[in-house]
Amino acid sequence: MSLDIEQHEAFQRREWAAERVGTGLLVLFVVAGLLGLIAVGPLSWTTRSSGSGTVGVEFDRIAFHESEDDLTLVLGPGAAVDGTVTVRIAGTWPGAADVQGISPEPSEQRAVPGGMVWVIPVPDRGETEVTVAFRPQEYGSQDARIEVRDESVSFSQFVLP
Amino acid sequence: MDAVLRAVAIYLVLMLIFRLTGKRTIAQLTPFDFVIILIVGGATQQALLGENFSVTYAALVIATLVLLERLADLLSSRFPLLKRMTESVPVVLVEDGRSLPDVMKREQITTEDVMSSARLNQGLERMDQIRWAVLETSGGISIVPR
Repeated sequence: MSLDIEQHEAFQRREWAAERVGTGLLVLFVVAGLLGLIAVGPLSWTTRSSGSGTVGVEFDRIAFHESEDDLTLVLGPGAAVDGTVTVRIAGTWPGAADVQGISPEPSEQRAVPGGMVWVIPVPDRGETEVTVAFRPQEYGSQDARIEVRDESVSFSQFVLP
Repeated sequence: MDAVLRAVAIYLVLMLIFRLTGKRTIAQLTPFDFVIILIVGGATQQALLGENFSVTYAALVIATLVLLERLADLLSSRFPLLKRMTESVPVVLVEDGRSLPDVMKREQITTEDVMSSARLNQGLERMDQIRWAVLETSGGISIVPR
């Protein structure tokens, strides 16, 4: 009398092989998350700066759709004119990010063709950090070019679902 | 990194809580236990996800939790001490039809719990029909009839 059971050894071997591959992929996924390649981590946060340091930006390479994020504009001593810095942001990023707040608050904000302009009051001397809180609204790579006076810095952020 | 660390922390906290509260915590799933499980799930959701509700972040948290389970299984199969620490050990409750009151009291199991399992799993009617009753690491009571 034999056991009434539906066995399929070839299928079972293929399933075990698929499980090993799947587990390996999961490990890679989690390691990528730990490193910051698909989430916030040591490799996700980076900095760009213009040649003489008039304007710089600290940002996450990876952002998440509809999740809160922020970036920091670093405005050098040469950025201010009469106590204000005029920042122009162009590219796909301004249209793809819902800006929730800017600190210190700009005295003037306006949309211009291809981007936006912020006029930010700053101390006359020293470096100023401006924090921009935002929620990404579009998926994929979003590029921005930040111009202050005659200098500029570019950055790119990839928005994951 | 945040998602992975949050998942690891919650996994360890839950493992500690459920290990410290005994084997029968979830095994006897009454309607109220079910509600408690839902509340635990709701309470841990915020700690796991924070303010990030994206699909990628959730996938990373789930992948981390599943891998931690796989890792715990792997380590438990190789290191018996770790298996005992994380999963506990089976405990004999009834031996040759005689219940062991001291053990049952410590595990907070009544004779009625044993007989309920005996009726459900083996169709037995009386304690003297039970050869062995064992509280398994899963929290269930297995019955070996005479």
